[in-house]
Amino acid sequence: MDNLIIEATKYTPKIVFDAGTHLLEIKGETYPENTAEFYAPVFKWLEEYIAKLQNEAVTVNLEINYFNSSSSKVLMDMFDKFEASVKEGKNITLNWIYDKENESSFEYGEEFQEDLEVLQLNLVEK
Amino acid sequence: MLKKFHDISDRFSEHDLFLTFSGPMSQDLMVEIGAILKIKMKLEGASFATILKVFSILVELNQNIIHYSAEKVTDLQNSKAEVSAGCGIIAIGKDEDRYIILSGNMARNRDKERLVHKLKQLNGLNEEDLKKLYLERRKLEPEKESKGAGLGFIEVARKTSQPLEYDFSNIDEQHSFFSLKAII
Repeated sequence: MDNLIIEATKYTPKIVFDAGTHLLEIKGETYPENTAEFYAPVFKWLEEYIAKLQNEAVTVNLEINYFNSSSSKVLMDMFDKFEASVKEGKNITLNWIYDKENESSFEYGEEFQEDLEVLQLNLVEK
Repeated sequence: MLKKFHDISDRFSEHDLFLTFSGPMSQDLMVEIGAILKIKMKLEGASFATILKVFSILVELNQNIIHYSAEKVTDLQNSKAEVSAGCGIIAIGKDEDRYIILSGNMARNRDKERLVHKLKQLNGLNEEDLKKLYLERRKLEPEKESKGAGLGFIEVARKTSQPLEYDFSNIDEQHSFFSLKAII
């Protein structure tokens, strides 16, 4: 399937989901005006991708310095989706990359960790 | 008119408000206000954490105006969301060592009770309970009135050091002017 590439704007992150290398990356800030609309193609791509997944090792790298409250919800929904796949036996590693200078980015990662059961969210220093 | 205009400007200064905007608000405008705010705060020596808190509150309150203000400017030729701007007022200031953000917009009276209930609830919670509520709500489907995740005010409350102050000034049978003050 095609890779998903969305370039960053001032208020949306760069998204590169590579179906060939199984590396999914989101980097930047996310506070769009209409969060559901912005992320709709991302979820559409993910659904198709996860449906085709066998036992390949997937790495998800997230380096998000700032997200607004509606993006926070979208990220949670995305992690729930990954978690459901892990429960079905898929091999997904989730890395939350934080900046040491930005205390909140570490705390945000921890808060997502608290809400996940089987999906491991690794806090990785940049 | 010009004399009054100077009075308005003076009154903002009296209240230590250094950045104000009133009128139709858009996403792009908000981004630029946020950018100059970050620069100003940095020059004043604010910490990275404080800058991020003030910026986060600005985004939440501004996006509330864009989405929920009862006064809107809409391009009738193209009713898509991008060209619709909610009108309101945003003011940022510094009172001694605390940053304050004020926002105001027209609200529908039918939404008043729900908003007051929500704000009262948030003001009654401590930091730990606010976090709990935030995480709980993040896992749920948003409320039907919400255009986002319904987390905006919780996010604001989590980043403030004092209870949120708010006011509804009656305009007419259907509308009130809703004001909110957040102290960081």
